[in-house]
Amino acid sequence: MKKMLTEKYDTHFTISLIKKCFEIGSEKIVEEIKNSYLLGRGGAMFPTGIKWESVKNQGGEKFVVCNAEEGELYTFKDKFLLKNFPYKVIDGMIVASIAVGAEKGFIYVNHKYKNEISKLKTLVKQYKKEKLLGENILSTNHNFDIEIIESNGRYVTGEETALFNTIEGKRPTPRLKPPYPTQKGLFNKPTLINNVETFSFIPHIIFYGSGWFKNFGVEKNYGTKLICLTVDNKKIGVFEIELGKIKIFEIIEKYAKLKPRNVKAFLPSASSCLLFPEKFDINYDFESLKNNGTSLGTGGIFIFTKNFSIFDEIKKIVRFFSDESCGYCVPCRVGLKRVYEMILELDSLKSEKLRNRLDLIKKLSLVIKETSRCALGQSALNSLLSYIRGIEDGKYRTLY
Amino acid sequence: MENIELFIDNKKIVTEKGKTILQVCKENGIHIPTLCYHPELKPDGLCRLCLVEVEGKGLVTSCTEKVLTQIKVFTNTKKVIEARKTILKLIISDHPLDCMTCEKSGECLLEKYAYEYGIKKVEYEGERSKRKQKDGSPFIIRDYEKCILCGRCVKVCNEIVGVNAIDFGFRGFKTEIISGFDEPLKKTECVFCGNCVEICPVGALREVSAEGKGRSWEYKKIKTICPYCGVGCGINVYVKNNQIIKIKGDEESCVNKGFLCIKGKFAFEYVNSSDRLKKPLRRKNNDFEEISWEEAFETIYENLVRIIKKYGSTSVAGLASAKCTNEENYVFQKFFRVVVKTNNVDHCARLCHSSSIAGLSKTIGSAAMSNSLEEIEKYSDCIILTGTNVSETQPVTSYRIRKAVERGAKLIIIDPMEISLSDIAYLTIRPNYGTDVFLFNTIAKIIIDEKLYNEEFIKERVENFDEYLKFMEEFPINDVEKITGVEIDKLREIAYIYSKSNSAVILWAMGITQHTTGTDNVVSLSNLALLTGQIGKKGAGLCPLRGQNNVQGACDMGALPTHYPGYFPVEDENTIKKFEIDWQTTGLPDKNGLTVVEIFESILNDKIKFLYIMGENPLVSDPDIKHVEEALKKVDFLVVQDIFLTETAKYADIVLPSKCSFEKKGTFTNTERRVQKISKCVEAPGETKDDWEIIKLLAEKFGYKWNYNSIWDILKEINNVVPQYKGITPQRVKNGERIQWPCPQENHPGTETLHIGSFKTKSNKGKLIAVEFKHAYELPDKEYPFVLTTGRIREHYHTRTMTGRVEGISEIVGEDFCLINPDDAKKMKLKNGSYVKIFSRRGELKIKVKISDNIKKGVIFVPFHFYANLLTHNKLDLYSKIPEYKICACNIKKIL
Repeated sequence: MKKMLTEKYDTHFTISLIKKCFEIGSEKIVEEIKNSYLLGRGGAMFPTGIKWESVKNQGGEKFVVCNAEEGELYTFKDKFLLKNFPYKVIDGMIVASIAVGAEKGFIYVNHKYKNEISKLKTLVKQYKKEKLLGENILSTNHNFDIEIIESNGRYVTGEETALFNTIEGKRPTPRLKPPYPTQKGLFNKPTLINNVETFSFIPHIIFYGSGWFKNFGVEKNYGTKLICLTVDNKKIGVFEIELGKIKIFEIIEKYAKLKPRNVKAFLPSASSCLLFPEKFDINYDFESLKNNGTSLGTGGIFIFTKNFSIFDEIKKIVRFFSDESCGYCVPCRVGLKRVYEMILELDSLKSEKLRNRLDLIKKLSLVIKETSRCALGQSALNSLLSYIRGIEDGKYRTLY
Repeated sequence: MENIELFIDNKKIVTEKGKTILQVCKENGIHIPTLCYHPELKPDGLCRLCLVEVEGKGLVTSCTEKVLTQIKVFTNTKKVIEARKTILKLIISDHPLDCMTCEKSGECLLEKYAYEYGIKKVEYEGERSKRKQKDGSPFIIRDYEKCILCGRCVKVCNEIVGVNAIDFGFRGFKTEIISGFDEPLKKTECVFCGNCVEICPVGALREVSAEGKGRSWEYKKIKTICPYCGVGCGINVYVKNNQIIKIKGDEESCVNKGFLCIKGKFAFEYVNSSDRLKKPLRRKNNDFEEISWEEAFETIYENLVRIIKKYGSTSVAGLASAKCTNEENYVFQKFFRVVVKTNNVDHCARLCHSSSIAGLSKTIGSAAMSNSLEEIEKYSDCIILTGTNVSETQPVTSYRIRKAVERGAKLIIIDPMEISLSDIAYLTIRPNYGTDVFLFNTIAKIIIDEKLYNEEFIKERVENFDEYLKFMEEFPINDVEKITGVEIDKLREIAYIYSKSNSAVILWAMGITQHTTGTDNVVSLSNLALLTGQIGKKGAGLCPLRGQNNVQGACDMGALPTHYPGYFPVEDENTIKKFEIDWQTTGLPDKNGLTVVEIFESILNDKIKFLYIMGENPLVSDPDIKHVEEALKKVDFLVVQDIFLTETAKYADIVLPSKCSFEKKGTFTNTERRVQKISKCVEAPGETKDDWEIIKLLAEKFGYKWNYNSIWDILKEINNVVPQYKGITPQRVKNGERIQWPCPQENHPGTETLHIGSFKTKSNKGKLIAVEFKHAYELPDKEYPFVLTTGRIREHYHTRTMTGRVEGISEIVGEDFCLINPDDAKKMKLKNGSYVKIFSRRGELKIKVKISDNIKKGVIFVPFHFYANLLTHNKLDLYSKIPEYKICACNIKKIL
């Protein structure tokens, strides 16, 4: 399997990359990203090029922000990138600053990533010394500076607008969209915000061209993806795979080193729906997962073996989202709490009472999914709902 | 605006693009339940109750979703109803079910919707959040167990009031509203405007005053007008057993849209105060004795006749009241002109905006605010605030300015003090005290030199341009930085923004007017508007912000020594002819009378012997009060008509008890020239009488039978006599219309914007008048090195006759204080809470220190509500006779 994100490069590459950016200019950079069909790797899979173009076309002061909050359960790929390839993120942001015309960038990092934070800070200093950041980058008239900000430890600050609010010193409450960050983002200025992984692709795409990039992956799902594997609550590791070139059972076999028949469910991410064994032969890419009723999300995969309780893990997931709700809208603040309370009681219920309660949980969960104000509430109960569907389909006669 | 077509519940609707589904539904009478939504706040979709279904999109919150062409919206499908029920159930699952004893019951929105959606049982009862009561004293109960976290309180505090005293705290199910670091409100930025209480849809935020007093349906709710400042906010007074229980903002009022400030919301305790005057009093040795009205009238009559006989009519003077109604002021001045035959009648407008009147009369012919607050909020692109700390003096106006800035208007603040709105100002400059004329002349000079003036406007509507240019040629613009302390580039920026805006407005108050150069200051502002044509259109003009509830009306009614009602000049024979016919009398006085400060001066000079004061307290409000005290002691006969035995009343020979605005009917005219009805809410105590009735009965003693049976008879006479009020008839006022004068006919809607097309001058043109810069009368020197400046604070009103009797207000600001710059404080080793003695050439004052960055170095600020006027001097502006409250020299000494 071909790799890109996990391949190293050196400072010479960085210098050539930045020089190339100045040579081809912002128009061409954006065109290249657009042609690459790179999809945002933070989970929402928005076409990166369109975002860049939109910010480029705005006037006035702008910002480039890297979202490295990575607070979701089972997800640790950004940490992996920041630990091993921090220069790719910074390079990607420098390219972005040239492309959209921004002079100030922020990397908003999960506060637990202490080593990565100090590494980033050192690297920024070094870049400044080498005139790759700061005023007049490589003696051009382009200025760009990056500030590293430690997150305040709330999952919801990974939501881009909540992240802006936090940097602005406000409460991390997601804002209503529109206006989108590309129009009014940080400090109400047009803002380009991408995930760590997304930025890490940029140097490769710009240096080698979108055509080269499209050699990875499959149509509409070009490139590679970092996946984080957890099996029965045990972290396995981060792996780079080519999108669409690998099937679920192959991930189970190759990376989790498990026999697929010993696996009872595959959860693509904490905010996705469960996949059961009959779906294990689908391709692992955005498109295929979507067509099979789930989503790739952040790529923080949880694999359940026969010995592990799905239900216990789902309780944890619901509890996590309930605790991390910003508390702003009713369905998310109160609804998640009520769902959590009700699923805790399920163990003690039997037959009709159990069925009725499951019905009630499902009804309430669907309302929460449909009426919550932001993606946190909207996706918090996906795993639970898919689990209940599994029970209804007869896959699980009991709760275990 | 572009029109679009959409379908709501299969009905075709045409509406404007840009509106939300909720707005369109409301306009079309389609009911949607809402909890977090408020028309004056930015929608944020918190409660999720206003869900509707949009074809192809599913459930959306109608408060945030904009209408699109051809969309199909459904407001009551099974899915919508079920989702709304679920939301309500979730809220109720975390809400106490103590509606039977809840103060809010009957007005609670949650209760209303629970009933509407038939919610009797919640299937998923669980843990209740642990939110508890928090300290909101002295006025607010913060019962957060009942809080549904709709966020309205947070939004009103941030978006409307701009104070940011509260916010959401914590996360998830533990989320709650917190203030500061979760402290009592008193320790935070909270200004106790009470708008959070106003806007709370449930019983979480309540008024302390109403706790345990009754159920909402037991209260009589009476619409009237706030008795405090010139904004004239609409209020609903909740009354039970002849007691005011609480006051709420009137959402139907176009003036305040339901919002209030600390005084309007909470400061009504004085009405029931035990020391209200209840019977007429007569001086007996060093005390007073209660007497009957008949005795009181007889005593006044005898003394008035005696004094007129001995010293003539001009030895009598009267002070009318900006607190009293139009009708009362009208009758008061009529008494002095018709019965006594003197024009010595004035009121406290002399002390606040007489220089605006003098200045604008000369230049544009009318001194009333040229625009409405609504225009400023909706249309002005550039708002210049100068000499007004509007968040303190007219808080509700500051809310409107905040919304204007949110809309995109550029706010420019020109004030030596750092004022509260500067957080949203586009540009703030802080010139030296008393340099306004130089500063505004500089802006005018830039406008001229850089050809920013509006040639067409000047050609058509302005006179004296050439002479003005000639004067400006010589203007020493290069001295501007030396004199005003402001860089010329900043003034250039102001000149450009002001002249290039579509509509720019200038608002000012006492910082401009209370100077010996007050009239010149105003003229220099007027010059800017005339040069650039920023007047006579929507959102553009000159707006003196009036101080008291009816100061505009008192002026309109002719409580001025120089003008009869309707601003007919005294020294004009046509005026006298008109009023002799109107009032069917002869021998009306045709010489200008004396102004407030001149009246006290004349008492000391033996020219005034009889003084009648209705609802004013000059012993606190007038400059150099030692001087006033001497006069009050000296005057031969003093009558004071008031609701309390004020500092002034204590010197009276006769004290007459009158009613406060909650106890009578009448009209007030607000700062925007809007005539509004006040209603009787409670019965007045004792034998008090309406002010107009007292004057009418006194006139009867002199044989004048004025046929006034109610205030409506007086208003009818005003309709006939005052052309601006002609169409503001009793019927229209009773119907609740809030008409802005001039209103020349009964079917006229009133006039929102003044000076469209022509000015109210003889030539119908505006006049540019050259004004030379002069220094203030008393500048700091070696002996008195500080500038003393006085002003208002939002908690107190005028001489504290009313607010001083409200316990909660005293808890917040119960003591006089001075503001001093941190550098000066450091030099003098002063701390917050230290005491100092401030002394001037007139007197001295022991006072508590508050250190504040908002005040310039070398300046001391003292609120005028207490005893600041022991220090001020009584030198007057030549034209308007306004005293210079804003600048005098003083020194301070630390008290050890």
